[in-house]
Amino acid sequence: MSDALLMAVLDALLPGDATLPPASRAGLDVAKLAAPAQPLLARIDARAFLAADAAGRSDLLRAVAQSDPVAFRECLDRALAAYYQAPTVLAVFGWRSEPPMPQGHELIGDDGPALALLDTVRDRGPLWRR
Amino acid sequence: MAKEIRLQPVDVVVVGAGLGGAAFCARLSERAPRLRIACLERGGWFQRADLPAHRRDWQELMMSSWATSPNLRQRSGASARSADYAIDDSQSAFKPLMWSGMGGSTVNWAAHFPRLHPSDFRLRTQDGIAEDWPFSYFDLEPYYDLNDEAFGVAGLAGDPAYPPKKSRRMKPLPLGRLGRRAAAGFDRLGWHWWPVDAAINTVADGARGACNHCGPCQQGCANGAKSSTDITYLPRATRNGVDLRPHCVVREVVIEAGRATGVRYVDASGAEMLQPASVVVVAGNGVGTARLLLASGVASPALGRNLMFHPAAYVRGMFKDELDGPVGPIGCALYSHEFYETDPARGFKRGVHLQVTRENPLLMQAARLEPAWGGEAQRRLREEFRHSMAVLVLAEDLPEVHNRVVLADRMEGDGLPGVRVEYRLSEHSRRSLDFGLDRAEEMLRAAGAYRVVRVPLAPLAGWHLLGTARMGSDPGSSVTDAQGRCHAAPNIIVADGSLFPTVGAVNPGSTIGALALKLADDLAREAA
Repeated sequence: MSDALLMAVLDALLPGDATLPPASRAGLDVAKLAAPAQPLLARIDARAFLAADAAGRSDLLRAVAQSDPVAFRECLDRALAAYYQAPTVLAVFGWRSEPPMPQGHELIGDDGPALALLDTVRDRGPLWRR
Repeated sequence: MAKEIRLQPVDVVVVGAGLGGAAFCARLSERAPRLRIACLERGGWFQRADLPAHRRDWQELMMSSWATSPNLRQRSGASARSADYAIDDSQSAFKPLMWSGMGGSTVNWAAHFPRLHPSDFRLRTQDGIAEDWPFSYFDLEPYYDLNDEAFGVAGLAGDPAYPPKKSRRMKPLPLGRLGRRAAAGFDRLGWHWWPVDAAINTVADGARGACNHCGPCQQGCANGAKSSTDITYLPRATRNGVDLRPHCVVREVVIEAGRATGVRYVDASGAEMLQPASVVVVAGNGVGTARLLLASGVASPALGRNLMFHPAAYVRGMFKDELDGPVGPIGCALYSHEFYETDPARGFKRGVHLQVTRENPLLMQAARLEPAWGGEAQRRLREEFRHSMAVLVLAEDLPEVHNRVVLADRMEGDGLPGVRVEYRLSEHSRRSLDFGLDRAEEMLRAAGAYRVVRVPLAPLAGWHLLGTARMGSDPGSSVTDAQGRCHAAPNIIVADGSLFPTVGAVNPGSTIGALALKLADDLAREAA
């Protein structure tokens, strides 16, 4: 029951869309989320939550978030971290899962025409007060 | 109780190896090579190979053990590389950000490197508010140049918002799609804009690489492209014989009969040390310096008061076309000083700095949505990521005695009293920010934003910790003289941003470095 509840809560937090996977199908290490989610799960009526539709689950989560914001935020932060660092999710956002280094990134395009606009700024003369 | 070890005396002991302390050590050791100088730093060296930029969980680390806030780092429970102390910031509109270790906050700064303007030194004379600095921009100018040389500035000379500066050593950081969009917006409005000065290599320089736009500058630079004092001033200081001592927490400046005689500290092994010194230099930033001097009993009514940040807020604009997202240094790409100088018609004195900055990584952007969960949050994130631009508004903070750093009643684990920051945003700052937000919004719309979101205050922007030991001639309203010497104990010299009588509306790093170099020259002349 608690695994099913955890997955249902994660999916209510991060439901995905046509291309973005729901949390339960994003390849997260769910075992790592179980402990930080426990205080929140303990405040949820599992039977009612699992029986509710998507809107009902959101309402139940909002109620718990109000009654125990610390437990809710702890679970949410861990879920966000796991989800938005998952390779499948990053790929949907057009971002790579490899670390920033050593590859770095490229800034695309030619700045020349934009820098030429500075002639107008120069032509105004000094702006500073002595 | 362990016996205190009394060390051989030195001529100068410097507390803190951040921007001010490191610049001071390097310059003094060059100008007065016979002086014996020791530099005590509460933290250690960080290793570039350990930085988050090398790890897949780098986004999460940015918000935990490598967060810019010492309180967040401590709360994360992870072993942080910074030797943090708790700061009670519950009564402060802005949360202090810093790094405690070799390099100080230059380890995790953005390396945005503007100078103050000449008018920033003359508020009392020109605008009838606050105080003048005890010297002018032009007195400090040679030291700005020296500091630029030490850091290696990338930028573009010829900015008409400033007196002429020497040509920048490296070409400016690329504007990218985001910067080009912003440039078009400023141009459309006929407003001033200019590529930023950044203490970031755009070409390789010796062992230090060129910036490859990897992104997380504020978690340490992985290839040394971003300047920090651990790779600029501190190696110079070491070559000159300065004795750098990491993991040494100074607990007291020892004062006898109105003069400092040295410092007490605990070293990495836990041994209690007494380091006698003829001169004590304190450079622990606007919080750390005030904390140590207050804890040491320095009797100065202005000590800890007049704390200034730079009030910060921002507007985010959403664009249909793709921008760069979190690619490249966060502190770029360009800025506007169209509204920097006083215009009485605005209803407030002084002005604002508008800075176009890159967006946050995906996780940070997701976590800051309100609410951050549910289908609507994900839809918004899909819409905004790589399609948004933030314009940061920095206002000039003015000194107010009730904004302060005070000691708490309890002792902390580092053997010093706890510290609390009390800071209220003034009406003046609010008016400045609101004006700046209006202008930022105007620019974003001119650049093509189809939607804007105003963030009226950015609490986690408390980088600039300034004014708590300010310079001046009156011992009742200032802490030091123009040479950074404490009125209450003249052989204690402050060498960091605590000295600023006023702060302008731009990042202070460039000025802190220049000021520390000047103060080192003052002391070297005396020691000659």
